[in-house]
Amino acid sequence: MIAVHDLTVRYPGQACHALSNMALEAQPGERVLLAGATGCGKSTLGLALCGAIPEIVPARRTGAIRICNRSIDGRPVRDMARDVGFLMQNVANQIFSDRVDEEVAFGLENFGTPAQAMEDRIQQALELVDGCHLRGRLIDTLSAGERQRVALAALLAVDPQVLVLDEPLAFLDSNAAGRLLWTLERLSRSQKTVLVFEHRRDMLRPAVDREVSMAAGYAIQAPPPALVFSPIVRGTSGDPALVFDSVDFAWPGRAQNLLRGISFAVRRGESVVLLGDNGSGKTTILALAMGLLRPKNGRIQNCGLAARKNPPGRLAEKAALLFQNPDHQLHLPRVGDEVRLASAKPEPARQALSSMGLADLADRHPRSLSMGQKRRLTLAAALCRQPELMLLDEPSVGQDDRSLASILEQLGNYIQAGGALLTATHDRRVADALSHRCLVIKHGQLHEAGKPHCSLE
Amino acid sequence: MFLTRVEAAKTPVHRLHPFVKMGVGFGFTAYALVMIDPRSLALLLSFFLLTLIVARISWSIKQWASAIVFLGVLTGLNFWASSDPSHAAAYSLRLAVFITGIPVLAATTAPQEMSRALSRLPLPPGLVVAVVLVWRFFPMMAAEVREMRQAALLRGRQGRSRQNAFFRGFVVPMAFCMVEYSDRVALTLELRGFSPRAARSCYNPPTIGLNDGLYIGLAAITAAMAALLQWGAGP
Amino acid sequence: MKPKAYWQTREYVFAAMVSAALLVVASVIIPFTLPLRIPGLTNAVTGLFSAFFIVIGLVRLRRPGSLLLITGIYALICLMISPVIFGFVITGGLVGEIVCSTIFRGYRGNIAPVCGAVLYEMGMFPAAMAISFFFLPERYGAIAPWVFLVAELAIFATAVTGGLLGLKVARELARAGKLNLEG
Repeated sequence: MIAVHDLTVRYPGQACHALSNMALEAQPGERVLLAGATGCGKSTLGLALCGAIPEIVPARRTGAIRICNRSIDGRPVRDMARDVGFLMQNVANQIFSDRVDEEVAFGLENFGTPAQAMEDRIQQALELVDGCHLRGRLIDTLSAGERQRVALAALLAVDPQVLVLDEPLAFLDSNAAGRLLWTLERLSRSQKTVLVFEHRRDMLRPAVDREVSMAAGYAIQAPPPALVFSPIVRGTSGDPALVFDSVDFAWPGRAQNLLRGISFAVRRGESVVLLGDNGSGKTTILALAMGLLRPKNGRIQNCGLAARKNPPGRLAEKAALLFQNPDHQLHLPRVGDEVRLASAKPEPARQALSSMGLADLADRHPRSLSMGQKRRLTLAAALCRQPELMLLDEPSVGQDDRSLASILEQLGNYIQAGGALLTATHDRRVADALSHRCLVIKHGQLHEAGKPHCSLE
Repeated sequence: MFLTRVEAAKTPVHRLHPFVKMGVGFGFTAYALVMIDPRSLALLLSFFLLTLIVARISWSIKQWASAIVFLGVLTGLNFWASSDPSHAAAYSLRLAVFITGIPVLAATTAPQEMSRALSRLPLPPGLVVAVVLVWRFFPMMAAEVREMRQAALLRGRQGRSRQNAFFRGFVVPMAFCMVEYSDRVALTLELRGFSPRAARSCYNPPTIGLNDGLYIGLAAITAAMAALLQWGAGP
Repeated sequence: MKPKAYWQTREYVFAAMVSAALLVVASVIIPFTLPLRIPGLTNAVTGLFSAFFIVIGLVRLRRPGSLLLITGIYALICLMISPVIFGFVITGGLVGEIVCSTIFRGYRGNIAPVCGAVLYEMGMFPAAMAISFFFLPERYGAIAPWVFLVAELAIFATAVTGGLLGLKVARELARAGKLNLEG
């Protein structure tokens, strides 16, 4: 079904090849996991298979790619879309309609499928992903996992023989991830070839037939051993840096409270992890802590300041919040400027960049970095300020094992130095490594979860 | 109000053909521009208000109060300028017709509905899909602006002027947001088989039905009655 | 073989995103400026930001017809809100497009994009006033002509400022690898 030989891709202005003599074969119904560090070429391979390189994405491509026994050379991307469905990491950019059935029909409309023939195709596609019950729903009301299912159904409606899934676990909680694995099994039974690009091999290994490891643009024989992240050591326990006392919160215009009776504290020298399904309120708690949102009831104390009575800028003098999307926290024209602004002296700024592997990128524009690099940059800038409290929202998204290890090391140093850390995540490895205590949000309420393995159960 | 998402096609107004709503809205708006009798304008306004009631589009008490105060002040100012109560009332009623005419289409027509209606016209597919994209991604860009605001609040001005902080904190990130969305969406659109040269079919094309005929009929009757009040009073 | 379409998918999408940015700007600014009922105030304030985004759009798209593509999509969106707004948006777009396509044959370089954005903003205001005067001659006839001149000058000033800022940010976008300024 897929045959790739000597595939080489180089982006303009780049010294190294993004893919170098890559070879890959996959049979009908086979599920292949392509794992590798960020920047190893997974997404590039996916784009090359879809024909997007060089037609849409400017890059030089050599080598042979055959899909369904046809060479892709000279085939327009539109034509390729009939054979290869590409599911992006962030499905929000792949959804064009308001409603589930309209979204599934969108691809069929692009190919001029007669309206009478669309109903059956929509139904079949939704059945494949167990999404029939979602029919007629507004997409904005769906969870991340449900949206991903709809996006997958939308690709399947066109009946491609090959599916490429790019980091499908990135925004999914454990329930949704489990459902995705089930869907992969189903797709395989319908003889579709599925390629999954993911660096979370641990989760996907049971659900695939074969694993191919990638490094620096080519396939390697043996996967590197999985990194085990050591739990960070507690620092000297101090006063609470963050206190939530009987906090209720509801979004404006909504009668029902999202959060009820939330009470907890994070002490200096302590790292607390906040777990919960998507939409449970983890990010909301972080925003409440920084005064970006107002609670209905209750008291929030942030580094000795009442969150209700102090503007966010004042709270941010002693505490740092890192958004899940780092883009909006980077506002200067150079990487180095972001960190220098945070630190009065040049040396701490240089060290912070080095510790995050960003020293060589000091003169680059922050928006030209990868998502993982941007996240590390915001962390470097925050650590430079030596805040008393740090709030992290999904710090592991876009990070490979090595980058994540260096982040965890820096956070460990921060805790040892007396900082307080609250991390919202659904990445189990991060939760295990960072938690001195685990808090789980379920149905709007907070529960303390047991160690050593934090879980949502 | 026109920027909020349209909910399910739960009322007959939602199910009307977008061009019918647009035609009636435009027609009444143009009609209102030539009316000077407050009674005629009040009739046109009542038609729109009734349509909104049937569509279950509701305004909060605060919104009603703001609208009434605004129109009241406007009427007072016009009366003070012209010393003609009829003229002052007509001016405010005309403005009220313009304002209420907007949500009749915008709040009861999903962007997809509009694009499906547009796809029946001889417009390039790219243009029709572009309209879909604007409505689809406008809320996402607005959400990004909210996040930019949050980031700016956390950052403070950091010794810069207000204008500089605004420029670097909002304007530049918005430009980046616009370009990055464009690159991502263009890629995914092509990967979904879209081509500006290829004709697209339509899953659920809007059709003109009995409800539309009824709506047009009622609008025509209202317009005739307004005309009667305006010009038919006789010497 | 089918002839290549004049606009490719990425160009339609980019024009759509510029329109979405214009919509965001309008939705934030108009509720504050419109109730003040000062002729040209809304246009002057939105002109600053609209010209900014339009210049970035034109710098990327470059070809003749780019301004009309962007403003045409925006006008179609405005059609859902008010046909009157549709009218003057499309008028402004036509004014800018005709002048720039005739004189500059597109939007390459620095002058043409700023010119296009400024002409669009300046073209919308007289169109809006003409429509308003046609239907409300008493109100708009009572306003002294110099008020319109001042308004148009204000729109010119803000649009030029916005356009120049747009060029500056376009260079930053190019530095970040998001925009290609060559060719």
